[in-house]
Amino acid sequence: MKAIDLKSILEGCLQKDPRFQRILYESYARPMLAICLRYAADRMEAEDVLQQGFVKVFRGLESYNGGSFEGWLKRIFIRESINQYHNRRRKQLDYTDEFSPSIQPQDGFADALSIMRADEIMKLVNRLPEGSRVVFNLFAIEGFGHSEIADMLGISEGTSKSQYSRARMLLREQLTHTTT
Amino acid sequence: MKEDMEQGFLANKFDDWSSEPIPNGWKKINQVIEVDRNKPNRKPMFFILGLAFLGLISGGLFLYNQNLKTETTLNMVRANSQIEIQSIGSSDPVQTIQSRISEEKVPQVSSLGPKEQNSSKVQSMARLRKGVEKVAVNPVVSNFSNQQSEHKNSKTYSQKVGVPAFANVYNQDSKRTPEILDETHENQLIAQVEDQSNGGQIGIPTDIEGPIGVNESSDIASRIDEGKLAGLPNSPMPENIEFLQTRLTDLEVPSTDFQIVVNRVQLVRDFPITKKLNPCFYSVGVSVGYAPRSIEINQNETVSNLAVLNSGKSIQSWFGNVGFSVQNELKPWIRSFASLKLGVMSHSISMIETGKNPSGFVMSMADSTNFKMIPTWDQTSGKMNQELIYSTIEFGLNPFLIPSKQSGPFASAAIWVALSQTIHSNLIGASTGLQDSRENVALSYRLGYQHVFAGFIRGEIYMAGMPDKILANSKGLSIKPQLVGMGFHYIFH
Repeated sequence: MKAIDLKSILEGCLQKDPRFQRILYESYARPMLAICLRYAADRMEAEDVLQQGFVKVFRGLESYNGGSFEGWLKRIFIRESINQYHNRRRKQLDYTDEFSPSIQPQDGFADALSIMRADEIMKLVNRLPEGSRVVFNLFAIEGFGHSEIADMLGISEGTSKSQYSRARMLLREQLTHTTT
Repeated sequence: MKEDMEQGFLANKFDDWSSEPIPNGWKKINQVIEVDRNKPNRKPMFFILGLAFLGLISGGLFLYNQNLKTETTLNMVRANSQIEIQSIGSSDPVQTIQSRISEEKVPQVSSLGPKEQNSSKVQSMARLRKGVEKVAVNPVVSNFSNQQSEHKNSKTYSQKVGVPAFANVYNQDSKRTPEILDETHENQLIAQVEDQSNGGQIGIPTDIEGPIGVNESSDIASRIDEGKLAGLPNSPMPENIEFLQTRLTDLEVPSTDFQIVVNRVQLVRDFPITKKLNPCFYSVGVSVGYAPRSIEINQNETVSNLAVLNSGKSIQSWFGNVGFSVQNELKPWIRSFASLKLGVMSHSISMIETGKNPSGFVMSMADSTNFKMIPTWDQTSGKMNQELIYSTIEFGLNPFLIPSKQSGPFASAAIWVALSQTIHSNLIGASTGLQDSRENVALSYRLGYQHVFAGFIRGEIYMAGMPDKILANSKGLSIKPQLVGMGFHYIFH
C-alpha cells in the first residue's frame, strides 16, 4: 500500500468512516492474523485476538505517532496476543521454571531454519511447548530482546533465555528427526 | 553467545507471511466498532462537566456564605437588658430599629386638633397597639426613667427594666443592618402601650416571639395627653423626640401603671448581629511552566534499540494555562480551593534509534596480544513532538504562614484531561521504544507557595507531577515528576 493511500485511509478511519475502516482491516487482517496464530493456542483463539486487536486499533488510532504504521500495528497485535497468552496461562500452570538444557545447541541451527519456508518453520514452532514457543516467536521472529520479553511476559530475563534455549534445542531435535 | 546473535534472525522470513482470509471477519469487528461510531466525543463533554461542577461548587459556596451572612445571634442574657426606642427616619441602620406608638392605641390623640395630631407623631416613636396579649407580669421597676444613650446619629431612650434584652443587640454590630426595615416584615420591635384597667406593672417578657407591648394605664395616657395639649411642636421627628424626652421626664409614672409585654419579635433574623463565616475568594489567572531534565536513560532500552540524545534535555515540556479558582476560608489560617484550568503543552522527545543487529565490527588492539571486536550500529536520530490542549481540575489546601498576606504553602491533587493533541514524528521505523497506549486522563499533584501582593494579586510558584499518561512517552525511559511553574492570579470577591 502506498504511503499516500495509507494516509487517506487513516484519515478516513479517524473520521470513523466504516468504508475506510474496512479497507484498513482487509489490508492488514491476514498478516496480523499470522502474528496472532504464532501465539494463540488455536485458530479460533487467534481470530478472537485479531478482532480485539482491530477494535483497539480503531479506538486508539489517534495515538499513532506517524512512524511505520505496520510496525505500530504489529506491536498492538503482539501485545494483544501476549495478553491473551497471559489469560490462558492463568488458567493453567505457570512456566517460570528454569530450563537447563542437557545438550548445548549446536552450530547450524540458525542456518537450518534460514533455508526453510515460513510455513514450515511455523509447523515446527507450533509443536513447541507454549512458553518456549512464545519466547521463540518474540525473540527470533519479532526481534525483541530478552529484557523486553521478560517485561512483556512478566518473567525474569534468565527465564526468557532458558526458554529460548529450550525452544532452540527442541527445534534442533525436530530438525534432526525430520532429516533422518 | 551464539544465541544472542539470533535475535530477530527469522524476522525477514515472516515479513510477508500471512494467513488465509477470515470469513465474515469484518462483520464481527464492525458490530463492535459500530457502537464507537455513534458514541459522542466525550472530551469536550468532560470539560463542560468539569466547568459545571466547579460552577456548582462555587455557587454552593457563595450561597452558603450568603446564608451565613444573615445568620444572627440574639444575646439573651437576662441581666443588663435594655429596651431601646429610637428615632424614626434616620439613615443610620441602627435607628431603623424602632418602636412606634400606634395612633390607634391612643384615641385621645386622634381626637385632638391638627397641632395636637402632629404632636401625636412624636408618640410614634413607639408603636402602640391594643389587644396585645399580655404574657407576663412582673413588677421590677418602680419608676419610668428615660435615659439617653449616646449612639452615632441616633438618640436612644432606654428603660432599665431588668428583663431579657432583645433590643440592645442592635448595638453589637451597627455596621450592617441591611434589610432591617423590610416592609414585608411586620416585624420590628413593636412596643405597645395599652390601657390596663387593673394597673400596670413592668412585665418580663417570656415569649420573644411576639411583639412588644407596653400597657399603659389610663392614668398615664391622660398625662401624656396633657403634655401634648400643652403644646408639642409641630416639627420633624428628632425634635419631637427631644421634646418627648423633656416632657416625659416631667411625668410621674406610678410603677404599677406600666407593663411591658413582649409578644413577638420577628426581626430576629434581620438583626444586624452577623458573623461572617467561610468567605469565598475567586480568582482568574495565568500560569506557565517548564519540565526540565525529566528523563533518565533506561539501560535495558539502550542495550536493545533505543538511545536518548542528551539525556538532560532529551525530553522537554513547556506548558501554559489560564484558570479560574475559588478559595474557601475554612479558618483564618487555612483555605481549601478548587480550580479549573485550560492550557496547552508542548512535549518533545529526541531519540536515536539503532539497528537491531550490528552493521559491522571494528577490531581494535587492546594491547600487543589482545584484540577487541567492537560492534558498530546503524543509527538514525529523530524527534517526536506532541502538542496538547488540556484541562485540569484541581482540589487542594492552602495553609497560611502569614495570614495577613495570605502567604503560605499549598498542596493539591489534579486531574489532567487531554482534550486534543497532535503528534509529529520523523523517527524512522517502528520503534519499540515509543509508547503506543496513551490515555486521556492522568492524575497528578501540585506543591507550591503562594503570596498575595497588594491585596488582589496572588503569585505562586510550584512544582507538579508530570501527567505521564496523557503524554507521548518512550518505553524504557523513566520520567522524573518535575514540572515547575509560576502563576499570577487576580483575586475578586
